[in-house]
Amino acid sequence: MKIDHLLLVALLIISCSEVKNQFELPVYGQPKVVERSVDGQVTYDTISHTISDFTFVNQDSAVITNEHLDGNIYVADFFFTSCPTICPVMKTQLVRVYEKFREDPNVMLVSYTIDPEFDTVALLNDYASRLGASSEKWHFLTGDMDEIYELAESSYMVVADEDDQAPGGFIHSGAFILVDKERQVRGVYDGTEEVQVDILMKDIQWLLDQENEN
Amino acid sequence: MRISPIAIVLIFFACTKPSEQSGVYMPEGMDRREKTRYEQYLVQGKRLYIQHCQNCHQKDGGGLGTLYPPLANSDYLKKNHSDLSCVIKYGLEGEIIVNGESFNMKMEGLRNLKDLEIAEILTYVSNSWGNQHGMISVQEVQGQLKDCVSTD
Repeated sequence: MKIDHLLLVALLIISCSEVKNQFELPVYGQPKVVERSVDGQVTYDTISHTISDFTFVNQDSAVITNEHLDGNIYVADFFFTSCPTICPVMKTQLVRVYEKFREDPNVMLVSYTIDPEFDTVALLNDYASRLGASSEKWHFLTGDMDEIYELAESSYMVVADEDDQAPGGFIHSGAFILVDKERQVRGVYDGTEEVQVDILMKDIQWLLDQENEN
Repeated sequence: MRISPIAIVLIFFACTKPSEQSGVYMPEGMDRREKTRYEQYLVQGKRLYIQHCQNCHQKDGGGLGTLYPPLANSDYLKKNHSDLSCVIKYGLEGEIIVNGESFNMKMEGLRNLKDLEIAEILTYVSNSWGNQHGMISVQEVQGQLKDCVSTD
């Protein structure tokens, strides 16, 4: 009977404890090898994949570039305001991230519209304020459509394109992309799945903790 | 070593969340047939709601910010009850006030839905999350759809 009880307690503890994060977040993308010459010697550097420079406009008509995000961890996604399918779900989940890290100025959110023709600054401003999002923390970016699609594919490694067969007229990934302070992609999550976003929030915390340790 | 059944039960419950309260309104005075039909509507209505409505209006009918209006405890649903079939079928555009807040996001109509499916969705929505309207029949939906002012 005694063993029974001990076993019970042990099992209860094990069944409820979370596995401690003992991992490194990967750095996504294909690293580039560049040739450099140092003191006449040719050396090779490996440079990780980073988010390219961009210039877009946010919901307050402010020009936002990659530099505005330097030093911040941020979550990026691609959406459009009139999207009838996955975007509302993604926004519901991003609001969770927003609320969780509301007090931490090092965490930002960046939502790119893939329908810049319709999603004007005024419309994004209304959309953001209706979500309760402050532009200090959450940029809703619009700009040249091709540049946005190019950035999505080559930098964030997700799909965004026009498709008149798709509901709402666009196809796009429902991914949330986690970018660290060095502009590196550190995680890609399904923004329509609550459990995936739970993992994203843990990973953000992990990045923040790493930063504090260093 | 023998593990008592209680231990197994306890372990099983240790990490499960309490199951969700269905919270669906059950009108009084229905006979057995009416009750069966009502429950059937609720089940189908929930399935259709998840498929067509939940993305915006959310699982708990709570809506999202002031983008997508709540259906839970919604005064708009009560006041506009006789228009709701038209809203589902043909959508809604322009500003509306729900529980004192302004909403202005275009809702697309679901033109492919059958009258029965609209009745099922309406029955589910009108009797969940604090709404207590009772059953909405296909006949009622068909009556409402005759008077729709199409937004096209």
